[in-house]
Amino acid sequence: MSDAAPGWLVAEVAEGIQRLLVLRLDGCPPADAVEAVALAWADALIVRGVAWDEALDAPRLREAFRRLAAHCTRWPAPAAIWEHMPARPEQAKLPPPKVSDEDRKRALRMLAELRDKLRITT
Amino acid sequence: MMLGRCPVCHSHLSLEAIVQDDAARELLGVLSALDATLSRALVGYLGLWRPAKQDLRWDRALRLAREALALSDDAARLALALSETTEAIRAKGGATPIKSHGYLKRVLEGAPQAAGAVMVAQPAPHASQRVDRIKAPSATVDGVMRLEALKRRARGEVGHE
Repeated sequence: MSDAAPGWLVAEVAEGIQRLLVLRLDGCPPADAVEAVALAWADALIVRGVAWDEALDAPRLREAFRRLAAHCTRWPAPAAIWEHMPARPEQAKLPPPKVSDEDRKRALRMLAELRDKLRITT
Repeated sequence: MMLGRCPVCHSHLSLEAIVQDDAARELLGVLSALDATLSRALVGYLGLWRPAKQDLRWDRALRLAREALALSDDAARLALALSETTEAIRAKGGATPIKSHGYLKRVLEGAPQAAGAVMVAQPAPHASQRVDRIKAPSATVDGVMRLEALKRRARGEVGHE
């Protein structure tokens, strides 16, 4: 069922299910079913088609379970995890390009030419 | 970071050791999921096993905790038996560490339904709810342990047991 789920994802989900389990919420699964529940959750997360990356997503998943535990009052469905999943950290951006005076003059010259041409055509 | 010594078993307490040792983390997970009465009684009982001149190893403490918890499904009765065992052995001097759960088993056998009867007999308005709450941890702990094993398998780690 969850063959496609990488080990780290299964481990993170199991950790999250542990967090929910100790809250003893209404609808909590029986002890002998918790492994199957964790695997089903991992599979449900895989089915959503996200390209999971351990470095980027393990902390998000942990935080999502933390937030879920803080908000839910009954045993949640796997879909609830997405409501609490923080966004991926923004990748570092390249610094703005340096523009020399010559480049700036050339760009202004091209704009001026363009304006002239547009004036001719209109 | 050294936290000091455990006031019960006098073992050294180091935060790094707890965080880095899987068995230590697992034991804390087990204890924190238990009812406070049972966890306190269990910690006291584990102190009886500490070797005279060294600390009780985390993996051994975890194994002993599991063995003790497996002796009874009745958390209140088990808590009472653990406390009685600890007090009785300490009263005798308790200089040497115990080597088996034999004494605890005898105390447990000698206290049939005692703890449950006490709980039920309590006149508090929510007595039945308290019994449910005390009995519930065994299932929770069982679930937590199963998930702990799943985490290890998923991460490709070899278990301690």
